[in-house]
Amino acid sequence: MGQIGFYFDADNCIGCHACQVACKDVNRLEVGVDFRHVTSWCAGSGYDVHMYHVSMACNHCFSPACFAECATGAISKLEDGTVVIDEELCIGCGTCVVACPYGEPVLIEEKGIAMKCDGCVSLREKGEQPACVAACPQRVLEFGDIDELKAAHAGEDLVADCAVMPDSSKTVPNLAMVIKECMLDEDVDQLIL
Amino acid sequence: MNIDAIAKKDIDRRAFVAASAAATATLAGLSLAGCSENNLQETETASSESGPLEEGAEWIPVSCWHNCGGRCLNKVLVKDGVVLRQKTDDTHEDSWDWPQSRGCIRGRSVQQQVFGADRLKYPMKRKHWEPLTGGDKSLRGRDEWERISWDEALDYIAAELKNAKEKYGNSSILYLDAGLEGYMGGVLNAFGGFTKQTGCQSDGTFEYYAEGLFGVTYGQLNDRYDILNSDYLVMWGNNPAWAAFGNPSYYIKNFKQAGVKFVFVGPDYNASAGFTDAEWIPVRPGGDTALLLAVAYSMITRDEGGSLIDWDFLNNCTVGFDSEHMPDDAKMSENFRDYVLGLYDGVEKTPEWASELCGTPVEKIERLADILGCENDCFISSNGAPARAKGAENFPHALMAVSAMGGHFGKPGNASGLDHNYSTLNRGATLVSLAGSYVPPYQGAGAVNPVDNTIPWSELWNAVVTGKYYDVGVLRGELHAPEERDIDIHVIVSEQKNVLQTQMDVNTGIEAYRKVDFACAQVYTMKTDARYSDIVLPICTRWEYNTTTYYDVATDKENTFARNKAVDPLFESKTDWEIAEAVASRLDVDFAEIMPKTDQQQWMDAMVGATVVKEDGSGYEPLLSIAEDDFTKYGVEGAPQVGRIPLEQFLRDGVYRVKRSADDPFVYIALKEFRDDPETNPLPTTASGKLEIYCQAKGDLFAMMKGDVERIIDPSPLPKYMDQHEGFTDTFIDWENKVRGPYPFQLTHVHYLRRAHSDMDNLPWLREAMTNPVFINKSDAEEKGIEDGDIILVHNDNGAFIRPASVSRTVMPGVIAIPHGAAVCIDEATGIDTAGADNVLTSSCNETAFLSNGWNGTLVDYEKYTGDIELLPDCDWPLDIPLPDEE
Repeated sequence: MGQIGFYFDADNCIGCHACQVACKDVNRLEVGVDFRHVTSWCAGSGYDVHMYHVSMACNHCFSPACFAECATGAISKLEDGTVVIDEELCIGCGTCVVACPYGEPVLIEEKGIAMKCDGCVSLREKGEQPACVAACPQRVLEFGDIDELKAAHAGEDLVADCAVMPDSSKTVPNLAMVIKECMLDEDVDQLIL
Repeated sequence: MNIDAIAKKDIDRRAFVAASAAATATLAGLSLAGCSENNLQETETASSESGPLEEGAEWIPVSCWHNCGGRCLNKVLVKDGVVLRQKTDDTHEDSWDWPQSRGCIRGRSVQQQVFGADRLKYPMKRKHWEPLTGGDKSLRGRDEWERISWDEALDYIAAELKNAKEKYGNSSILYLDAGLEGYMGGVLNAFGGFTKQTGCQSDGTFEYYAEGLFGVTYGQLNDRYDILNSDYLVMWGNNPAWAAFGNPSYYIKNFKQAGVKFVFVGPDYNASAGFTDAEWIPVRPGGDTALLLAVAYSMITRDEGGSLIDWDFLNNCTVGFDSEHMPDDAKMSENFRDYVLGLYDGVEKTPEWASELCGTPVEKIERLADILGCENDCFISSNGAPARAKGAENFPHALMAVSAMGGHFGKPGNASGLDHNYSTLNRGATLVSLAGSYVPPYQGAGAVNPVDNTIPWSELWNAVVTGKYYDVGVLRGELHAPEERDIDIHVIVSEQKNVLQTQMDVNTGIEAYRKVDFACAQVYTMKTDARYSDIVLPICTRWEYNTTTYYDVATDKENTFARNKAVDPLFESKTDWEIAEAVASRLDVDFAEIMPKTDQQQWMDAMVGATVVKEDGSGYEPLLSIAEDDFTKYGVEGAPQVGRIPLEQFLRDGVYRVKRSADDPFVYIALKEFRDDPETNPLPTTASGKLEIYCQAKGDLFAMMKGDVERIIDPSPLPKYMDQHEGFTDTFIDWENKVRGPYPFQLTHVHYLRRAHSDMDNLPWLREAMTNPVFINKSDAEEKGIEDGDIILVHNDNGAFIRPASVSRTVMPGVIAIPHGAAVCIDEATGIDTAGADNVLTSSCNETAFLSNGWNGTLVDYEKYTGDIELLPDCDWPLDIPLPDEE
């Protein structure tokens, strides 16, 4: 059954972090642990400046580096392509945390395991959207079968790369992203908001 | 693969409380009164349920009651009195015509405000406080706390009030008044009154014009469907993405997709400008009037037969632009055009003239003049921020004048004015609303405060410290010429207000707090007013009882919200109503007369009176059907009625939103009838019935308020440039020779998405998501050797704080942007604030027009901090738990 993924319209993201905090809420994450991260960036010069934001969680890659590097077989892909960590098998070695170019699995020291975005499996089972998607005030996040997402946004220029993200050819993320032109500009600073 | 473990996450109160506890690591090196290490106690017995924890849980719409500038749907999943998680609007399919009302990070974090380990549990008194004398008053803000009983606390408060009244009269009681519940204000009115406050607040100097002084006032802008017709949306100092959360930035996304282009005017390129790829017209804080005058000059001198100026509109709909169109009541012969051209003062208001003052490059001024020309349809959406600066008295008037020159009133795609807070970018008649708007009992019809003293907010703390102030009456009430008066404040009563944090000049405020005999506060957590008080009363949050007050009614015009009590009051907390009633009984005041309705009745009455527009736009009908049983169920009185939807549906969904369409009768264009036929439809608020670019009423008002006091205020009826105290010119000690003074940077403060003013700033999730740096220009930083993330000391004669620097291309050189509302946390050894409280730096307005404010008109300097205070990330600060040992 297909492959799930995220659509993200970075062109209209306001960097408000609602997705990140909704994720914390649903997953009961403490300060210091996030399965979704929002970063803000600034390009341009003088009074011709450009601001953008990147909201990133697990991209449930076709070739997940976390899966490839996991020594205990704790990481697997569910039938729908969701990349998950089996808490029983995870030994908390942190290999996946280092391996993922998107910085997604997070080592939970108290539990001695790594955890990550599972695309809100439990909410989906109840017919709900992943928390980040349902929370987004700008409606710039969507979740679903990646082919269907791409078809639904066929008129848009969909990519999985920009200046501040890793080369998508490494893991083939299931991410269909609309970017601003300035997001290709290599002269960019992270903007702490 | 065992996915059960993933699907059935360990969600219970225990996990939630643990999340709060994570933020309680000790803050080394700081002596924070009350900020001691947390010994967390669970607030209630955690759920012991195993298996799917959400089984049997119920979604309840709750209040999101904060003064954030937006209003959205907030729901909690509750089981056995425990909140498992939250969500926002999913009550219907989401579309442009019928959008959901989705909330923000703050709304999603309210659970940490309600159930945080720093929630106050019991009434407290300051350890070294003594009744009637205050004890060692210098310890306010750094003393320890002791638990006392409610009876003790209320008896103490009543005794202090009686003592002050008897010895010094009621004017010695300062009730901090910001128009929320205001129950205690009603009690104090009946007790003989209290000293009030007045002045421009959020709306800045737009408040002078609130009654339509020069013809229009705020909210006279267009419906969101009409903005789709605009060529340009000019966000003047505006940042809806942060300052008016809810739908406005979603509307903007749709405007953008419809081809509207965006312009941002302001000193810091913000999130709203960023996502719209807005053209940036930079202007220094307080420089907006100069910029507008130069735009006017550019339009006047470059117009060719109406290429930029809408002469028909100016001639038909305005007075005072030129000598041919002066109003009948004009006492002076000056007109705007000739002022701009320099015929009166010898100063042509050229782009070069303005550029030196406001920092906008000349070509950007010309560019703005082109954009605002009459050939473009412009929606000019101003925030109050440009009007919250010293020297901004004429900004709203100048904005109207330039907008009128471009003809940007009363036709599709065109509007101009103040456009922030609720219903930003979606104006016109309210389509659905709870009953009326809430007026606190001390302000309502028939409310009488026998004390005739009203202190301007911006001079409040000076007045308490010095015992002198100028009384000018009440803004939007009766104003009069300034009268120098004595004032002798002995008691400060703060009812959930946090004025010490949010008004200018916190350090003088602390001095004021340490001067008076007694101060008390009602809070959920230790806000600044409470920290510097003697008695602190724990109040319920709005998830713990039902009521309806101002911020419940203020929403986007298309939606209104229901809220329900979700959990019982925590610990010993009481409602403000209960506290006011208990104080009243001790003061022999009849509370039933002041507040005849209970909170619960107020809550129901607002729904009984809720109205929704009829589909054909011909009037309103009741929103809710309410049965006899409903009143019985909620223990309130009322008569059954028939409305559009059942009460129970409203209380279950939490929101009612009117479905719109492009051809519905609600597409509104402000001032259209006036523009189409100004003789038949004159403006009701001006003598001429037209937009008054020359406004005698304004000139007369400013002349009266100036009186014979030496203040920088120009009583001209024209929107002239005024010297800006603590503006750019004051960054020089010698302007002519350009010799820099000690404070070369201009401060602008920004509404920060991490908190609502000073509210919610204690919540760990928010503190982590947004780290509260200060924003400085990249080239300025390079010059000073400051790198991104370095701790900097920002200071002036009013105070100093340390904060991490966010080195950014988004801030103009010479400007520092400071997130508004951080809770001051003074390091007692050095006097340095460690939180980045904007009002440690902002100064009182003793040189500028009465009632204006100076939040965006303050000068500072900064440098890399080299002292000994260790500054941890805010999310690692301990929660402020004043009674760590009480269980």
